[in-house]
Amino acid sequence: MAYQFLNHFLVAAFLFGISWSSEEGNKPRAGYQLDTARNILLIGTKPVYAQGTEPNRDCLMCHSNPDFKGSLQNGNLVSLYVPNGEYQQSVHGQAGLECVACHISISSYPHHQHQQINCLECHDQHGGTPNSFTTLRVQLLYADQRAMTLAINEACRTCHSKEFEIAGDSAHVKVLNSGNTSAPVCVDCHGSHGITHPDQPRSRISNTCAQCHQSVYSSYEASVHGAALESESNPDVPTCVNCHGVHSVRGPRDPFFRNDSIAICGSCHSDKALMSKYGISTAVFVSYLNDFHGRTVDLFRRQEAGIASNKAVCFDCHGIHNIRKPDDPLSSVYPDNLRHTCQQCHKDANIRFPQAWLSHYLPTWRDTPVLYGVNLFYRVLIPLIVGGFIFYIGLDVRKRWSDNRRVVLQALAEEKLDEYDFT
Amino acid sequence: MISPNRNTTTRKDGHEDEAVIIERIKQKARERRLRAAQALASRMQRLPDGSLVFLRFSRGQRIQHQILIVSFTTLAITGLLQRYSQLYLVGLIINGVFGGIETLRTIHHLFALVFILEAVYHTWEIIMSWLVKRDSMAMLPTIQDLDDLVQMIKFNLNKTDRRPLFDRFSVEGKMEYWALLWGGVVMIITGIIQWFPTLITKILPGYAIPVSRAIHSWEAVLATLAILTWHLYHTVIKERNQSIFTGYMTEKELQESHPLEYRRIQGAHAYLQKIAEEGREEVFEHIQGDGQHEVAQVG
Repeated sequence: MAYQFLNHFLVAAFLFGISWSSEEGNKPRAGYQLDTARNILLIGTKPVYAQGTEPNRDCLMCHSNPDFKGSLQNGNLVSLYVPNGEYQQSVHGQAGLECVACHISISSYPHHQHQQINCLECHDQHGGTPNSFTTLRVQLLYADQRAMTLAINEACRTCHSKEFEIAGDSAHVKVLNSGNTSAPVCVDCHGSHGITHPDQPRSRISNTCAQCHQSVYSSYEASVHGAALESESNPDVPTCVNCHGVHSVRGPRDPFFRNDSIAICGSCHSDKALMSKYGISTAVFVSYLNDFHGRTVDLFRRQEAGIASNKAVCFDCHGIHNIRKPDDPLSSVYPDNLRHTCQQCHKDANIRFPQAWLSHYLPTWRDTPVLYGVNLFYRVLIPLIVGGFIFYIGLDVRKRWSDNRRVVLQALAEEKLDEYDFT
Repeated sequence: MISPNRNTTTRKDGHEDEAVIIERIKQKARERRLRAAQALASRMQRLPDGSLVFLRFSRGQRIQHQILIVSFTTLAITGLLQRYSQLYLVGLIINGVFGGIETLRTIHHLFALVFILEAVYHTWEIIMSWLVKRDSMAMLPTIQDLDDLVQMIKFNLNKTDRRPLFDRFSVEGKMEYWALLWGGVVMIITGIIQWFPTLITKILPGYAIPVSRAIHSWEAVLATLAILTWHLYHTVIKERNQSIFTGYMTEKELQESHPLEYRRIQGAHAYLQKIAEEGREEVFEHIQGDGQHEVAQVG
C-alpha cells in the first residue's frame, strides 16, 4: 500500500515535471528526459530487458500486436496497434523520435492504474519471454475515439507551436471550437504514425482535402489547374493550399478572403516568367485592376474594415474550383457563355453587354482601334492644349511684368472709338 | 403706331400697300434698335458715390456659376481620385476621408446629377434668350476672336503696339465657355453611358462603355488642367475679376478688359439721349411700357 502511494506520488510529480518542462520549450528530446526520469524514479516499473536497446521497444512490446485493442467509455473498441514499419518510414521515425515524444501523457506501465493487465496474458510464466501475440484488451478513459484523437493531437503543439497557433485561427478550428468535433485537426490531414511530407507528390495535397471536400475536389479535378496537377504532376498549378492557405485555411466566405482573392490569382498570373511557360498573358491582372471591377475590389482590399466588395472578383467570372481555359466551351467565360455569366450581377444584360469587356487585353491599335485612338488623341491633345495655355499665359505675364501698366491703360483710353456703332 | 402717312388705306384686293409694309418694317427696326439700346444702357448704373458700375452677369447667371463651382470641383476631386485610385496615397484618401469607393461614387453621381440639371437649365436658357427673346449672341465665336487671339500674342511678344480690344466677351472668356460647354456635353454623355451600362447596351454596342470610360477619364484631366491654368489665370490671377460674384465691374475694369463693351454702352446712352432730344416721344412712350426707366435716370 505504501509502495503504491509512493508510486502515485512519483508519477504525479513526474507528470508535473514533464508538463512544466514542455511549457518551458524544452521540446524535441522530451523522450530522453522521460526515459531518464523513468530510469531514476520509476525503476521498479521498467522492464529490465528493454534497457540499452531501441527506445520504442518497450511500447512496441504491446503495440506491435495487431490485435491489441482498447475499450472506450462508450463501449467501442479502438485498435491500439502501431505498425512499426510505417512509423520508421515517417519523418518522425527517421528523426529518431520516441513514442513518448508525442504521447506525452504516457509515463508508466501500465499507463493507468485501472488498466490491470494480467502478466500471463503475454508471458507463459513468471520471468518467461512473451508469447506470440494474443488478444489484448485494455480499458481506456476516453469517451470515444474522436475524444482520444483530439486529446493526443494536442501533443503536436509541443514542437509545431507556430503551425498550431496559425491553425487556431483557421476555419477548421473555428468549427471545432463551435462544438463540432468532426472538424479536422492536425492528424486528420497529416496522419498519425505514418506522417510523411504532405506535398510529395503535390497531388497528395488536394487528395488530402478531398477526404472531406469531395464535391469541391471533383470540380477541381476537371478544372485546368486540377487536371494539370493530376495528370502531369504540374509543379506550377495551384493545389488547394496555394489559394486557401496551409494551416491558416480561411473560410471562403470571409470578406478578407474575397477581397484578397484577386491577389491570390494575381500572384501567379502576373508572374511573367511563370506565365510565359504556358503562353498566358500577364496583362490579365493589370487589365483587371485598371477596370471598374478591379479598381473597386482593390480599394476594398486596402480597407481595414474587412467589407467584401460586391464587384466581380476573378472567380465570379472564371469559376471557383471549376476554372477552365477561356476557349473551352464549358468555361463560364467562353464567348457564348459570357452573357449568362454577366447576368449573375447585371440582371438585364443583353447580348451586346459582354462586348464592354475587352478580354483582359490592354488596348492595341489592331484589336481596339477606337479605344487606342482615344488614348492616343488625349495623350497628344492634353499636352498641346495645356502647353498652349501655359505659353499664352507666360507671354501675358511677361508683358505685364515688363510694361508700365499706366501706359497700357492710357493707350486704351486714347483709342478712337467714338464712331463705334453699338448695335 | 399711328403713321402720319396717307397710304393707310387697303387696296381693293385686301392687301396692304407696299409702302405701308416698308414703313412698318422700318418702324419695327427702330423699335428693336431702341430696345437694344435700352437693354445695353441698363447695364450701366450709378452708385450713390457717383461712380459707375457695369452689369456683367445677371443674378441667375451668378447662381449658375456658384453651383458650377461646387459641382465641378466635387466632380473633379471625386473623379480624379477614382482615376488615380491605384496610387497608395489616393487609396488612403478614398478609404480614409471618403469612407470607401462606394460612398465616393455616390457623391460623384449626386453632383453629376446637379451638373446635368444645370446643363439642361442652361441649354433651355440659351434657347430662350437666343431664339425667343432675341437677345444678343455675344458669346458666339467669330473670326474677330481668332484675330484677337493672334493680336494678343503679337502684342505680348512686342510685335505690335496695338492691344486687341475686347468686346462684351473676350476671346479668352469665350474659349473657356465653349471648352466648358463642349467638355460638359462629352462628360455627361460618357458619364451616363458608364452609369447605366446595361441600359446603354440596349442601344449602343458594348464597346461604347470602355471607350466612354477612357474619354471621361482623359477629359477630366483636360478640364481640370484648363480650369487651373486658363480660367484661374484670366479671372483670378490677372485681374482679380470679381464680377461673377458681385455681378458688376467698375468703369475702370470694364474700360481695361472690355473696351468695346464699354464704348457700346456709352454709344447706347448717346443714342437714347439723342432720340429723347429729338422728341420722338411716341416711340419712346411705346417702349416705356416695358419698364425701362433706368435709361432716363442714368442718362
